[in-house]
Amino acid sequence: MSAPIAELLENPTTKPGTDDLTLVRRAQSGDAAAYDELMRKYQERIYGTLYHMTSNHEDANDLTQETFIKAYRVLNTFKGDSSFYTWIYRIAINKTINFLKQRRNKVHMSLNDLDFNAEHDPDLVALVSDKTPHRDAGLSELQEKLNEAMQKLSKPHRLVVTLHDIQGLSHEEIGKIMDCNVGTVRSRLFYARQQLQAHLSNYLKH
Amino acid sequence: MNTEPENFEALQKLLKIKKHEQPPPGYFNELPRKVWMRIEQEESRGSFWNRWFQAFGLKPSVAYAFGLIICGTLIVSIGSALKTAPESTASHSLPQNESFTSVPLSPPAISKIGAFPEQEFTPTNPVTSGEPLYPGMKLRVEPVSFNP
Repeated sequence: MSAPIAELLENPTTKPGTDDLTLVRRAQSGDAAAYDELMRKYQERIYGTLYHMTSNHEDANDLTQETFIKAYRVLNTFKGDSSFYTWIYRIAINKTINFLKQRRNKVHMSLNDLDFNAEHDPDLVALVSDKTPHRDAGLSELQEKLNEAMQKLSKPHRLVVTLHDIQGLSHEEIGKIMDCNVGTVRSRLFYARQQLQAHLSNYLKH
Repeated sequence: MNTEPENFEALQKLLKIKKHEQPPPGYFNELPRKVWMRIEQEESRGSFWNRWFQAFGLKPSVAYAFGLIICGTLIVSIGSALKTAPESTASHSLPQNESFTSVPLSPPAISKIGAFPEQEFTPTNPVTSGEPLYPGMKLRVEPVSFNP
């Protein structure tokens, strides 16, 4: 598949709008442009999940790249039993869980900057307003404390908060990705929120 | 298990910060290119054995074909070895009319070994086909005592 890759790198052409299964079938038959489109479609969500799991841009970057490389290598094993989205999410999460096991408790945060819209988000403005006990706490400090609290959660709890509360996935989708039932997802989400609330109590009181 | 809805409203608001965390500008434009570059690099520098095992992993038919070739080679080798074995055994077989005399090693014979007369022996090694090993040399039997 070297020739199509070289061609693609020189002249990236994608046709957005094609459904995942068609793109996967085309990629399986050696169409690099199809796989490129799949990557562009899911890179933000995959990266986002891995970033929120690691709180480190460099680690998330490496893991995202490795996820897409691994998925490309084993693409022929994708039979279409689940959606491509669920399938690649599982690869990403397995890679991340293994990475976090090796990293253990050595958390080195490398946080991304907040975008321009953060300062204008009414909910966030309210958090740093006079309602917050720590009146001098800026958004950057809140961001750091939140990431610290996230890293204190167990991996399944962190994952469920990331997928539901940050990424906006449904309980059912999370159940498929984590290979557990919806009840387990709900229970994990509840305990994860409780723990986060306890860790961040100083920043949440009204 | 208590999963009753609690007031997580403030927490939900705080979690919105995470949605505003963004990687450096242009990051997602470059990511696919970086992935392709790494795929290219890995493909070009992959060792012979890596590619070998990958081919087996991705294409089981290649593994079956390889196994078949190995088995075929083994069967042909064994077959040819069995075919040549009787010929080589025959070349080492004894002449049919060769007569042998055996020396009985019964206790009375051993007891009299000390009084064994000097005599000429013909080697019984079948490889030499009855020809003396050292032509013109007379072999002697040296009496040996097994008693301490």
